[in-house]
Amino acid sequence: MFHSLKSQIIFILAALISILVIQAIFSRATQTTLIQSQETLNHSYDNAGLVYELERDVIDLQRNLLIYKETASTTSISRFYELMTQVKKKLSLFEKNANIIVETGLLDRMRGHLNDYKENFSSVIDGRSEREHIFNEKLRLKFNRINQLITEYEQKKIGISKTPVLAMKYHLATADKYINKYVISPDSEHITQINQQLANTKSVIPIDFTESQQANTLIKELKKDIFRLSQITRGYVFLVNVVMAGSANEFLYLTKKLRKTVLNEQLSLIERARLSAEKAQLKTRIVALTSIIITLLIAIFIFGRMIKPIRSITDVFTKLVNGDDIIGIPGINRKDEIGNLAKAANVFHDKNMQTAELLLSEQKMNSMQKALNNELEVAKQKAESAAESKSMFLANMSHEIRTPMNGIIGLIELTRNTELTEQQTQHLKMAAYSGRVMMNVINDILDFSKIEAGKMEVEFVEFNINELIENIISVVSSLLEEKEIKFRVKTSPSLPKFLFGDPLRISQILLNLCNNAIKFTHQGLVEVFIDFKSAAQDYLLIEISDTGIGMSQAQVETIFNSFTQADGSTSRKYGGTGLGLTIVKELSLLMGGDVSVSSTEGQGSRFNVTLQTKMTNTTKAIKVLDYKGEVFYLADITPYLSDLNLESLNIYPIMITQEDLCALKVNSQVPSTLLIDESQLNYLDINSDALIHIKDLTIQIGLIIDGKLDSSVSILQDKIQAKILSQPHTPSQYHEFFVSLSGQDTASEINSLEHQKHLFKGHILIVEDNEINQIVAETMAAQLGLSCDIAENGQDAVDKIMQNPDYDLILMDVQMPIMGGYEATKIIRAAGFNDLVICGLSANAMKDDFDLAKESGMNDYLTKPIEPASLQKMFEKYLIRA
Amino acid sequence: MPDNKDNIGPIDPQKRDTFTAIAKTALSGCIAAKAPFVFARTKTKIRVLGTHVTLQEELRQKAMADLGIELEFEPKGSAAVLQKASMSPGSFDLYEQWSNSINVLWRSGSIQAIEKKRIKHWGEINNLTKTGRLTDTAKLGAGDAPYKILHVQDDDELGLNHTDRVSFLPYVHNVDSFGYNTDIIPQGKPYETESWGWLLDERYAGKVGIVNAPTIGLFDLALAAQARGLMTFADIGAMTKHELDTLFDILIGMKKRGHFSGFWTSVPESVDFMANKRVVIESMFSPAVSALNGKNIPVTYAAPKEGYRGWHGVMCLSSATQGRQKDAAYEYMNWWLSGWPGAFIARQGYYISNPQRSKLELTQAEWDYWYGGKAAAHALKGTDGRVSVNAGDIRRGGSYEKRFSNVAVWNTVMPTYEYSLQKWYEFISA
Repeated sequence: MFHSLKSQIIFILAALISILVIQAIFSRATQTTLIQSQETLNHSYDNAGLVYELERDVIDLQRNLLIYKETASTTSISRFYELMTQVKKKLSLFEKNANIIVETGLLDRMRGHLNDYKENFSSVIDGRSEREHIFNEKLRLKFNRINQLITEYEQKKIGISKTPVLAMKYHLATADKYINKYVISPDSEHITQINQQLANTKSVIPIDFTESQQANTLIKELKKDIFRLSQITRGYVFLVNVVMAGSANEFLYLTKKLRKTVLNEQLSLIERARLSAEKAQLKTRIVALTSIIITLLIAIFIFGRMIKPIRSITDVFTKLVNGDDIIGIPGINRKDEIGNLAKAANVFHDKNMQTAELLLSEQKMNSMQKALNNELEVAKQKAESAAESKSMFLANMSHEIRTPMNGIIGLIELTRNTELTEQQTQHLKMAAYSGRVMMNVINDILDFSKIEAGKMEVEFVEFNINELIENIISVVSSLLEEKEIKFRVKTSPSLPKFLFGDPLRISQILLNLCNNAIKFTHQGLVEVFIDFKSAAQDYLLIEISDTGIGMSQAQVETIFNSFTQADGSTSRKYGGTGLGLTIVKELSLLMGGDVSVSSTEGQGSRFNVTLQTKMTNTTKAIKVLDYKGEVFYLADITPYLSDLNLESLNIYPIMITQEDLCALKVNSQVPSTLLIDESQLNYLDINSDALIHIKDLTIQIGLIIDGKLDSSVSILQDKIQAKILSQPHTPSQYHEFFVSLSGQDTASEINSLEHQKHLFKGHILIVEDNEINQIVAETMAAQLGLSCDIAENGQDAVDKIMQNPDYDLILMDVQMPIMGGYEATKIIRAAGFNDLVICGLSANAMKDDFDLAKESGMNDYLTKPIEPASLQKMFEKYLIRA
Repeated sequence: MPDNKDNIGPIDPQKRDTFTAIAKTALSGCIAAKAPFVFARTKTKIRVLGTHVTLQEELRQKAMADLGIELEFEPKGSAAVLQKASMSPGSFDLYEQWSNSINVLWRSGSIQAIEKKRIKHWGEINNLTKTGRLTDTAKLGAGDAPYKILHVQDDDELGLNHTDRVSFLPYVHNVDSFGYNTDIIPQGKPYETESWGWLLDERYAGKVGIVNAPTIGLFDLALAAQARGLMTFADIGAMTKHELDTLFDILIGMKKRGHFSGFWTSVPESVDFMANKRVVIESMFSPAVSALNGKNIPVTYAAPKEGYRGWHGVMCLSSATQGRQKDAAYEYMNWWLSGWPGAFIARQGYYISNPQRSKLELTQAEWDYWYGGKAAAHALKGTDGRVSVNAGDIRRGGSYEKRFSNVAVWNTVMPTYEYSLQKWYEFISA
């Protein structure tokens, strides 16, 4: 319950507050008690005063009673009644106010005595008054009367003996004297005397006493009066002396008792007050002592249970913070916050220990790590050097393979241009093909190893889509020479002329896929469709479909895996490394796109490639024409041109049949065009009327050929001076075809495939260590009308240039002994020969190589084996035609 | 306590009241005398003036039933009764009081002589009032012994010679002494160790109570003083002024030393004194002793070796009563001696003058206990129906004869009465 310090502290606070409250209550109670005692005591003093007054008043009553008894004073009567009223009032006041326990009936008895006293007093007054009356009136009257009778008798009987008269008078006077005596001091002796004197009086009445009858009666009545006087006197004296005195004394006794009670009460009150004061004092002391003890205990408790442990814990923590070791933590077994602190300290300690251990193990680990790292580093270095070696090996291998290959291919090409028999030509052709295949294989292996090493990078530069397509067509065309299949390149009208991307890699993808398609297609069609989509991101879409052998679904699923071909037999039948599609896939991904395939076994395959690109301007690859003349189109039901989106060129042809040809009329005002689809060629007799007619019509004729030119076409072409659009063609070729038809330009480059050799004027330096390659390059240059110097290596080249820098161009192999091409270029540039055109030659077709070339100061770069076309193209840039 | 306003109540032996309001009674007597007389009554009405001792409601009812008369009881304190009776004979027909009032009444002429021949059972009345002695060896007792004042002499004075006329009808009587609390005071032996002297014993100083009446208490104190040998009296029934001076000198001295705790004026007050432990010894009347014993306060009613203070009830005929009233009064007087009333008051501890007739109305056990001085054969009931005597109890002081053979003094109004009043006042006020 009180496990936590919080509750303990709350408890302690509650205890302290309780102590204060109890003290407050006690002191209040004490005060109240003392005040009450004081009040009660005061009240008791009042009561005592009242009782004293009662006593005094009763004594006063007695005094007044006696005064009255003696003097019959009216003042004492009124005083008596006044006192009586006072006493009664005081008694009532006492009864009302005195809340003390008086003996049962005491006050009633007092009141009873008082009432008796009062009643008796009135009786006393009555008695005393009657006595006065008897004494002063009745007796006086009778004595006077008797005396008068005696005097009358004396006067009447003059001369008689005076003795009886004197005796009567004497006895009467004596009786009177005793009456007075009795009145002063009541004593039955006096009464006896009185009666005796009266009897004596009677006895001495002379016989001749005239009024003896009356005298006797008077004496008798006197006797009666005396009796009454005595009885009354006895009565009121008895009342006063016995009854009232008894009452008064009893009243006083009761008053004394009351006083005693009051006094006792007072004493007990005082005692009680003293006791309660003592008790209160004791209580206060006990409470104070208890409070002090509790407070001390609390202090000890707080010190012992909180401050000390907290200090200890603080010390522990300080030690822990300082990292000192500790032996035992105080209060670890406690269940309160200190316990928690102790546990925390313990945890801290444990953590410290652990930390120390950790530190130790960390240090150990670190050293281990270091060792490992070192090992790793060594391993890495080893691996890196191994990879390096591998790369070096591969590079060297490729170099070593390509260099002779370049030589071979170059020589083959050169040989083909010599006078040869048909069979020799055919063999050379095959040899050239084999050489290229081998080169491709080598390039694939190189690319794959780069991809695998994550070293493949793509660039994002502006390129001309026409050039790209032109390259493709030029490469693919050589493959098609052996095949009886059609190869089409179609472009979407939306395809822009300039795009951002990596033209080299896009070409590589296209070439690989085309290579594949052509390889596995034996008849029919291989079609390339290039589209462009612009959304949030611009995409170049390439679709390559064929009518080849196709693939099963299982094959489709694994076709992009490395070293995988459709099946094992494929490699045997078709050859290849199985890396081509993998490279396509990886490159597509690298260019933010993907490649997918759909295929039907025996019917063909379709590869779809999506590549991220960016449009630089809105110029389209196929420019829109402002074609004003009529266009007639002699075609099959499904004309080939319909695929070519004539609408995009703003051309809306009028479809005609062969029958229509003879009747064809043209408006001479507007240049008209007749497009003839290849499909119709077989039906056209060169000499037919229709064609003659057409010729007469001065109509511009365009032949649309879905394949290679053949002799019949050439004849027709000659005959009717037709312009020809054959497949494959670039978008610009397509555009130019229609431009020429419109008669605006009759450019000769309708078919770029036609290898037109140009001669150049100039003297070039070929820097090449391989002798064969020296010959190939020299021969190729010579064929293009250029004279050459040969340098064996970079150093040699530098020396030669230093001696005579008058070269129009330098073909610089990059990989040479003694001094490489890059270094040499750098030296040359450093020597100030900035205008000198230096074209790098390398078997490395990688971007790095291009960058290195640029960096070193080369103007251009060619990959080996040197193709005569590309060489010529390069020369076009820098040299003057002959 | 004055009881003149009380009506006749049920029997209450504790209401044997004492002496108050003499002068007042005298006055009211005068007034009553002036009251118009009513003749038109079918029954004869007898007005009885007296004390609570005999004016008990049961007696009244019984008498009215037995006699076919109407009775009017007027109970008062002794002194008041005396005063009224002595001054207004017309205010009553019959007077019931103590023998010590006879002299006053007779001299005042307020009572007339009773003719012996009209008292049916006169012959049965014992010798206590006739010769003064129940037995041959009995003390006569000092003071106004009843036999001295019973007979009306030829000179109309009261005297010893037996005549046909008597001043009162002897009926209820008893002896008084003092009671003491045996918790405090060791039980004494009747007639041997028990002494009036105890009242003045220093050992009980401050715890002594005396009846506030000179005609009674004075004798208790005089007997006490004499018993202690402090003084002697020539005639204790007629003390001289000198003797009174001596006696009161002694008493006032003791009073001043606080010997006396109080002076009671009524039986209940005397009960209170003892019950409240205000006193351990005091003058007492027998009903108070019964009451205290009833309260389990062990009070013994002493049989003092000096003898008792005796008292004798007197029934007097008013001098103003004549004719049918007088006849009815005689009937009532005869009724009192007819047995039943004597048996009734016997159960309250009082004696009747012709006990043999009452014996017929008592059981043997009652007779043996109350009169015979023998142990109660079984528990005896009082007039209130409650057991007042337990089986085996013996009446203190013995048989009727034994007790009345030991009367030291009778309640008496002495010639020095007035003087004693003065002295009494000095005494109780000291």
